[in-house]
Amino acid sequence: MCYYNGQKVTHAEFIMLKDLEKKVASYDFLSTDLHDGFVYGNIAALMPIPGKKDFEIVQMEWGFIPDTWFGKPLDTREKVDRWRRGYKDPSGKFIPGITTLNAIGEEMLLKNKIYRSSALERRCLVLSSGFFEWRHHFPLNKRTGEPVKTSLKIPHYITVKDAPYFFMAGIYKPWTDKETGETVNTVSIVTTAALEGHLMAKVHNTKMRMPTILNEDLAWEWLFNPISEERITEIAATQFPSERMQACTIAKDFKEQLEPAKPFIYEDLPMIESVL
Amino acid sequence: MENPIIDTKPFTVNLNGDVLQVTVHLIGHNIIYRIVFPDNRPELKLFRAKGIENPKFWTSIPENLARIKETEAVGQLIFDHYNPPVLLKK
Repeated sequence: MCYYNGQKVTHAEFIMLKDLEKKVASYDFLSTDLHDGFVYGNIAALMPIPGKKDFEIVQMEWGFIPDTWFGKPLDTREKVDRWRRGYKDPSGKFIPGITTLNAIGEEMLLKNKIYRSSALERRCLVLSSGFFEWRHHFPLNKRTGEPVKTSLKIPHYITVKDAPYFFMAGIYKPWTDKETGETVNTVSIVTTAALEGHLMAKVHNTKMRMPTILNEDLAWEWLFNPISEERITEIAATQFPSERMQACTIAKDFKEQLEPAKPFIYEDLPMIESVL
Repeated sequence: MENPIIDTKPFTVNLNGDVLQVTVHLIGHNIIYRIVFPDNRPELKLFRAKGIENPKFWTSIPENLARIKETEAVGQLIFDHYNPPVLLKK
């Protein structure tokens, strides 16, 4: 039996609290809560506890890492960084990096996809209070009256109305660094088509894609239930109701802002409802 | 179900007229609340731990016996902020 801050706790809890002290001491509390996928940071996710209808909240590394890529092992950080960011081969030719922040819901179960086994066996929920997406705007040329050819990219912050957080479908995979022995869970957020008329089709108007946002019932089914391939694909294609979502324009340099999601009004930018 | 509180948006609580800034951080598998005071008091990091006599209690990390009352008062305000609980209902 031990005491912590005047309270009687179990030996196990005491050890956990002492471990937490160390983690808190080395944690950077001044970092913001903005998750920029391209820096491959950690995001909060709900992971099912095996054998139970329960989950734990964990941090996962955003950016799914497969065991191999075209037969070559991705077993060290150096190899993963090169694979993600691109590199020059011995002849000097640049080999572009591979992005695995998102898994295309319609394709992830195809036999040749790196996501297939995770979609079948390791599904999770990524917690979000909002996400960022860019809308391409083609203003009219003042001289010709025609839309300009190069678009302006206007960042938006998208949230679910009256919901402090919501669930995105995710799939994860543990990855071990062969050099350090450290194992992390890496995760990809599942995306689906944003159908015509959906808010996300208006915001993400070049690719017409959006994260698969799930209501509580679907989130539960995605996380726990043994479900068929057809059902997985069906849930992955969920069109979260457009009327329950909202988007606001934010500053172009939002990543450098103290409040990245703070609304920012652009003059002469058509309201989102009048785009289509 | 007691709310494990997973909304990570910062918020404020009012402790006897002082507005305290609260930010939420997921460290490992644990949620830590960082409390910043409007005066010169050192910040607190709070955690909801499991006790034997009290099933759950608020503690500072690291433990600080001199600030137990403050810890409990702020912890209760954090709990109230999230009440009623919002999480998967099942």
